Amino acid sequence: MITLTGINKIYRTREIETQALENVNLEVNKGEFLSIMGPSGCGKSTLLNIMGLLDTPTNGTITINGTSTEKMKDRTLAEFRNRMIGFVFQSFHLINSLNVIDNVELPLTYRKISAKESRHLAEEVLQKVGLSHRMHHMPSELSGGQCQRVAIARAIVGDPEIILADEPTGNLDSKMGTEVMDILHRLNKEEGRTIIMVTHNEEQAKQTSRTIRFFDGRQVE
Amino acid sequence: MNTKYFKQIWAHLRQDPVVSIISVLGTALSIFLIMLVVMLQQVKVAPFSPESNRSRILYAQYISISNKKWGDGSSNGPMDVKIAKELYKSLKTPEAVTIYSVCTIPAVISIPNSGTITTDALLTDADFWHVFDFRFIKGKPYDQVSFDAAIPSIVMAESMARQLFGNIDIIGKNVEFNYTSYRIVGIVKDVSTLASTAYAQVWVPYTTTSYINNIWCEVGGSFSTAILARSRKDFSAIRTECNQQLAISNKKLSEKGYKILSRNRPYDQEKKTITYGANIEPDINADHRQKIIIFIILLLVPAINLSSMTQSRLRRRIAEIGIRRAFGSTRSKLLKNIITESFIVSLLAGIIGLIFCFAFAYLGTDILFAQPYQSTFCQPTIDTSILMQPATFLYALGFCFVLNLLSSLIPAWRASRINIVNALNGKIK
Repeated sequence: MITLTGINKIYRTREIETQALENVNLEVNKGEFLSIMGPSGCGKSTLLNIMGLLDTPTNGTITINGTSTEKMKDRTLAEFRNRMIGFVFQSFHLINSLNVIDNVELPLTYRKISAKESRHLAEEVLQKVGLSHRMHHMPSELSGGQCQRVAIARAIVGDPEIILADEPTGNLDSKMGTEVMDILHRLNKEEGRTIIMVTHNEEQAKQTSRTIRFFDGRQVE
Repeated sequence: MNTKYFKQIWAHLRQDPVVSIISVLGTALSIFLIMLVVMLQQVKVAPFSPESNRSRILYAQYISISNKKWGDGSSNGPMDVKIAKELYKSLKTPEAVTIYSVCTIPAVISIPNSGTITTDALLTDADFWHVFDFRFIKGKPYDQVSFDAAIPSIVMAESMARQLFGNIDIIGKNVEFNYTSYRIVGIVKDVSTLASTAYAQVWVPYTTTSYINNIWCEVGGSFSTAILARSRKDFSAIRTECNQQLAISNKKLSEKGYKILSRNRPYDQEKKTITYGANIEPDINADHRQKIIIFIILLLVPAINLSSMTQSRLRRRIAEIGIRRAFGSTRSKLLKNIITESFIVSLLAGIIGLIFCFAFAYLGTDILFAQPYQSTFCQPTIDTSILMQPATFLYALGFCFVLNLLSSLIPAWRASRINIVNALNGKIK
């Protein structure tokens, strides 16, 4: 599904050079629930951003579903992200000026589908995450757990094959965290979505199909 | 257009009301200022009754004549009726040609057993009523027969009629116009002084006055000419015909050493409005350049200010930019979104600015439309038909668009280039 070959990421400033990722080779299979663990600053999020085509590696190649993303232009990359990948962020990243349903519809606004269909799909996923009663609320009126469920709804509304979750329970208490994890497991098991999750939580990692560990930009396990 | 745009704009405006108010009012005031300049120009060139045909009228307000004995000198001013007829009335291409006094003439008017009133009178021929579309409330204009026969007939503005008689049912009654009895044949709706050619309070046939005898330098007099073309396309043919007539007249005048200088007359409405003297041909290109420079300054100064406001608004929305990019927005789509949002705000501000402008035009008519060489003591009047020109709205829309582009293009472009991960983390790099 996703193949990373020889990925390096170096951040350069005038004074210093920081190697965030060093020769990462990784293969993620379709339907897998992969967790990435490691201490803060070890390059987990950088790796996730590169896999999600939000950032480019300094060198190395990324292949998703057999397609190399190396030479993709902005338009193709945007379309690829829109169709193939759904993101769930630690701090939810909802647009505060839009209500819940409009936030969920966001990925669909970049597709050629009717407003009616878009609304219908958004309502459907909100029901799936148990938030159909909060459709017209603003993000500021929701709890953290509810915000993350909206973020998950937004991530899956476009029916992407891959979900990238960057510490999805990092800002939630354990009860809400469990609720969010339950939804992710359901999406993996029942819908066969490939999920790659960055986490610090050993318990959550144990529940996934595979765990890889990073240290100082290198995969150590 | 997607209603989400409006919902989101409204939400953003509400997020920081002080900045929003300053931003919207700043744009509104800029549009107000620009539209005032446009409006001042518009009233000079846009059609409104009785000058509804402005777009297809050519004017020969003045004549210029030189003489071999004068060296490089020339004499310039209004023309004599005889030469006006020879040069312009004889033209075959136009729909109609009218000869009228170069400006309104202060006259006294009265009815029996009452005092005299000073009035602005225009001396015209019968074709004047064809070239200009007055709104007759009662009666009709004097015709060619009564004009040729020099029958003292008078057309009066409604307010003048009411001032004299208290009502407008006065067709057929007589008034004393410059101490001569005239029969009232028509009452027209009042004409704004902004109708620079057709304005007067009373109109009489010039054949009934002695003004036709004021002649200087063979061809100079007290009259001007307006030529109504069938369409603007005929302007070139009319000018060619005018030049042919001029050559014929000059041949006759050359015997006495005189020569009429063309100065590329007749002029269209726009050129007429920038004619400040009879002895020079107005430079329309210089006038355009001057206006463009004024508009650029008027647009650029607020655009720079608004640009920094847009930039600071976008800075607060940096994470949103990252989110949109992550979920599939291309750079160009993001650019389009930001510019569209900004345009909607500019448009809202533009509407407010235009309302300010109309309000100011009504309330400040005396200041705004005071004319430098006014031949009347009447205050300029303005009504909706003069101000509410479709072109005015188009100009306002155009200026909003340009202002928006100038103020939002660079911030939007910069926002669209931000690295997605940095944007998500709230960093502008």
